[in-house]
Amino acid sequence: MKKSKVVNLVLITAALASCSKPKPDWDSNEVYMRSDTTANYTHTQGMHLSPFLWYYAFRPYGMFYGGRYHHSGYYSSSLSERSNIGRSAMKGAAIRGGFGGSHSFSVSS
Amino acid sequence: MQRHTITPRNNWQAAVEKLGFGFHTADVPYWDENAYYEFSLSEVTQIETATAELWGMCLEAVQYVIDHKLYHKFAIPDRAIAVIEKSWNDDVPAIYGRFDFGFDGTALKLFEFNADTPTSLFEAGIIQWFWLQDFASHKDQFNSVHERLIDYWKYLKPYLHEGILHFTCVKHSLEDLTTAEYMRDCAIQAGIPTKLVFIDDIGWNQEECEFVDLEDQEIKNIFKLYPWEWMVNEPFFDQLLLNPEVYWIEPAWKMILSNKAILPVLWKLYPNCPYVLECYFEEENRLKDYVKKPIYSREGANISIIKDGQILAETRGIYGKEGFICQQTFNIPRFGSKIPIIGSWVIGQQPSGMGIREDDSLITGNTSCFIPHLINN
Repeated sequence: MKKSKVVNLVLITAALASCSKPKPDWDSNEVYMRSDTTANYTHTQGMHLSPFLWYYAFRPYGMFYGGRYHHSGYYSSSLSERSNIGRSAMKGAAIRGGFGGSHSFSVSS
Repeated sequence: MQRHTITPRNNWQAAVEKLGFGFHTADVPYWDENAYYEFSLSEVTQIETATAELWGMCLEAVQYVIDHKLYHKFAIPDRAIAVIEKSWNDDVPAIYGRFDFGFDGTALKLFEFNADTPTSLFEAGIIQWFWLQDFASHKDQFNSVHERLIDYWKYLKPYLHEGILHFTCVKHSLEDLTTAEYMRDCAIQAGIPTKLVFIDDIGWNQEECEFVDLEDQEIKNIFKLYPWEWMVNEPFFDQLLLNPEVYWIEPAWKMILSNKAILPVLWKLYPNCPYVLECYFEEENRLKDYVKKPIYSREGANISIIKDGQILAETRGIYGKEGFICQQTFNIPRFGSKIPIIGSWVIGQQPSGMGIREDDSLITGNTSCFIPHLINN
């Protein structure tokens, strides 16, 4: 029943000690986005974020070729599929945001 | 079982934050060391024994539900059945679960089993252990959570698909992130290569027909702090069906055990078990004094306590459309105004420790406090 006297944590202390609960800084500006010129503009799904959080909510992906970066889309569930996919031949093969849409803050049980 | 009021450690907030416990206080205090619970060794042995026996009974109950195709009673959609049965037949790795008990000093009764996404693991395994080292290091605690997690990951390592073990949870909950990262910490200590990917960042590579992380690395084993009952209703469940070889941990058969419909099944199979309360599906209920619970519910939502046909207490929430079960009431003694619930952990098939949550309310919810415990021999 008694546990060992030495309890080590290799990851969690460093990773979480400085971690604060992220709270979106809501901005009332309406935002419409598309990933490239071949996709439709759509209203982002309720994520009116400050510029500070913008990168985290809409992380871009793409690749370099011919000395230029070619944007392919966003890793974001806040952007509808039709505005994120388009018809660009440079699109990555992965689609994202298919899990996690149940919109609960926590799973606590 | 006794409750003692004490003075908290000076600057305890800094002490627990140093351990990585960032959600000790939300709108109300969650970690509360103004008190502790004292158990005798025989009481802890009773809890330990009950946990081991109930775990065995739960596995029998899963087999019963599968054999008798009772999925409709659990509101499990047809398209999830193959995933459940495959995970059961393939013995996909499962790690942990938490039985919630009421205890009156003599009788110990199961209220529910949190089998899929139980939380408070970090508090039970780490925070209350370090509290004990400061408060009464010569005393014992029912707590081998940390060692068992590491040992069980070591044991499971050869059974995982080769490569990375991913961990996932929702983005905006520090509590969930802490639980998932704590679990990952133990896997790292077991020598398993790991990565964290938030649940909504998981990708599906249509060309390769595989789930990928943000670096497009294939996901083959993944611990998810995310409920199956949500996953089955989300778009990627179709993709999950296309790639059934991924090890989702906890496995899909936990959909049966984490559902409160398992409680009337346990009563039907084990009516003489001292730990199981009389329990029925709502349409078959014959009890006069009972607790009515949605088969899917979290944090004490949508629960009613009924006595002689009158509602004694109830909570609101968003659950209930899938149906209810009715469980015989069990009186837990109050300690002042406080009502404690014992959360007893089973990790790697073994009883592994416990955490106590208490509330002024008859219904334990998301504002209930976590109180440390010790064993007085």
